[in-house]
Amino acid sequence: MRTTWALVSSEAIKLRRSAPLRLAIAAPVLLFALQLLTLFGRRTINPTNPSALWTDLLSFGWIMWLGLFTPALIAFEAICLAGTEHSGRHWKQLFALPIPRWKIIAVKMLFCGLLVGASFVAFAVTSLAGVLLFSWVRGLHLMASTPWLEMLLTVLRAYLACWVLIVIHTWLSVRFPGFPVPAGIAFAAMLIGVLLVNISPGVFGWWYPWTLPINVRPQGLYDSHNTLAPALFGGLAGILLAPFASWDLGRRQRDG
Amino acid sequence: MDFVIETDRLTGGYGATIVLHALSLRVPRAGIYGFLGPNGAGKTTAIRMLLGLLRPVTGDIRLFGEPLPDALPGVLRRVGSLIEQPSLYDHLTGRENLEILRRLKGLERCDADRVIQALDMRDYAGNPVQEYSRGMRQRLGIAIAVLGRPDLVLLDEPMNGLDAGGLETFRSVLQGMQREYGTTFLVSSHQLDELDLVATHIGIMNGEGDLLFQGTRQELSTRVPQELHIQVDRPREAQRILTSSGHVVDARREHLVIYGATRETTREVNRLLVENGIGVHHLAIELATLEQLFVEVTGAVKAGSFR
Repeated sequence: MRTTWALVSSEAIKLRRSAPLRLAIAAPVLLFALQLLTLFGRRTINPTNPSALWTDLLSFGWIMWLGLFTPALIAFEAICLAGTEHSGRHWKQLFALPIPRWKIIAVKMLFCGLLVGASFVAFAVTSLAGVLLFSWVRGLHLMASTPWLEMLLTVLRAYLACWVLIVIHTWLSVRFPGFPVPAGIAFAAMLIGVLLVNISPGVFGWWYPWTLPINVRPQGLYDSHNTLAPALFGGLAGILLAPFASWDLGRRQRDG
Repeated sequence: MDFVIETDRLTGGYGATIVLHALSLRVPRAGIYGFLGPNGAGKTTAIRMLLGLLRPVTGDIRLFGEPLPDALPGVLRRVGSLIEQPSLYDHLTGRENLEILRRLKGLERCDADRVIQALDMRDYAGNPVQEYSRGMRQRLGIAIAVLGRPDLVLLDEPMNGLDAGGLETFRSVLQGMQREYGTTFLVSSHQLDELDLVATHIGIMNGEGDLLFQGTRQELSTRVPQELHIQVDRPREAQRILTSSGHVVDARREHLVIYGATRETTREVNRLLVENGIGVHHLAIELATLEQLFVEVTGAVKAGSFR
C-alpha cells in the first residue's frame, strides 16, 4: 500500500507544468469554443419541448466529444504520459527501484484514466454551461429543465466504456517509445471505427473499442439501444486487459 | 571476505549480441570498486544486470548474498544507481526530481535536504532542470543515487561533465559515505586519474568483455613492472655505467628510468652510481598511475606477459 501511495503521489508531482495536464484542460476548452461557435451560429431553433431542445443543442458537442475527441484524447494522454518516462530514459531508474514493475505500469494507466476523467468532467460542465449561456442570450429559459441525471449517467457510462481504450493506449505508448507508432495505431483504429460503424453498425460497431464511448449516447447512432452494455463491456475489458498489459510491460528488459 | 556483489560466470548482452563473457565480479563490503574497461567492454551491461534491468544468458548474481532475480525487487531497497546519463524530469525542479525519488524509496524529507547540502546544490535546487548545465545535471543524478544512504551505490560514468569543484564534492561524498556508513561503491569511469584518488579496489575488463584483473589498488601496483626514476649530475655517464652492468635504462628529458625495478634494484643502482663518483639527486620507485596500470594490464594481456 505504501508503494502504491508513493507511486500515486510521485505521479502527481510529475504532472506539474506537464503536457498531459495541459492536454486534459485544452481538449474540453477547445470543444467548448467549437460548441459556442456552432450554437451561436445557428439561425433557426425548432423547440418542440425543453427536453428535445436540450438534446438538440447538446448533440454537436457530445458527438464530437465521444466520437472524435475521446479516442484521440486517450491516445495523446497515454503517449504524453509514457513520453515523460521515455524522453528522460526513466524506465531504467523506475525499474531499478524496490517497487513491483506491474504497479508502476498500473499507476500509469490509472493516471491516464484520471486525466481523461478530469477532461470528461470539464467537458460535461462546459457543454451544459454553453447551452445555458445560449439559452440566456436567446431567452429560451432552459435552466429549469437541465437534464442533470441523464448527463451524469451518460458521463459515467462513457467514462466506463473508455477504460479498455485507456489500457490499450497506455500499453502501446509504454511499449513503443515516441509518437509515430502509438499515434499511427490510434488514427488507424479510429478510422476503422468510422468504417465499421458505417458498414456494419449492428455487429462490429457495437463492440469495437474505439466506438464504445459514442455507443453510450441515448440518442446516438442507433435509436433505443442498450446504452449500458457498451459501458460494461468497455469497463470489463479494461479490467481484464490491465493485468496482462502490466505484466507484459513489466517483464520486458529495459535497454533504454 | 564479505562481498556485497558476487557474480559467477556472468554472460549476456543485448539480443543475439553477447557483450559479457563469464564475468565473475567480487565487490567487497565498504569498498570503492573502480570498474575499468574500454568503450563497449560491457561495464554498463554488467551494471544493468546487477539492477535486474537485463537478464543474463548464463551465470549467477548475488547482491548482499541474495540471488537474483529471486531477491528482486526487495533487494533494490539497499541499492542506489546512476546509469549513464542521469534520468531527470526536465520540466520539474531539481528538488521536485529528488522528491519523486524520495517518495518512491520511502525516505524521510530530511534525506532530500541532506543530499542537496552534501552535493552543494542549494543555489539551484529550486530551478527547473531544463536550465541546468551538464555538470549540474550530473550532480543531481549523483544526489539521486546516494539519496537515503543506500548500502550499495552503482555509478556508471558519474564524473562526466563535473568541474573541478564538482569532482572534489563527488570524492568527498563517496569517501564520507564509505567511511561513516560503510557504503559500497561500484564506479565505472574513463576518468582514471580521478578514480585513482578514491578507488580501493580495481576491476579491469578488456574490449571483449573479459575481466583481466580484480583486486586491491595495491595488488594491481605490484602486478605490473614499476619504474625507478633516477636524477644525477652526469646522466650520460650514469646511463653508460648502468647499461654496462646489465640494466636496461631509458633516458628521459630530466631523468633516467629503469623498468621492472625492485627495492633490490634501487640499492644496487645507488651503490653503482656512488662507487663511480656520480652525484645522485633523486632515486625513487615511482608508483604507476591507474592510467599507466590500465594500459599496462590491457597491453600485457594482449602480449601474453601479464601475471
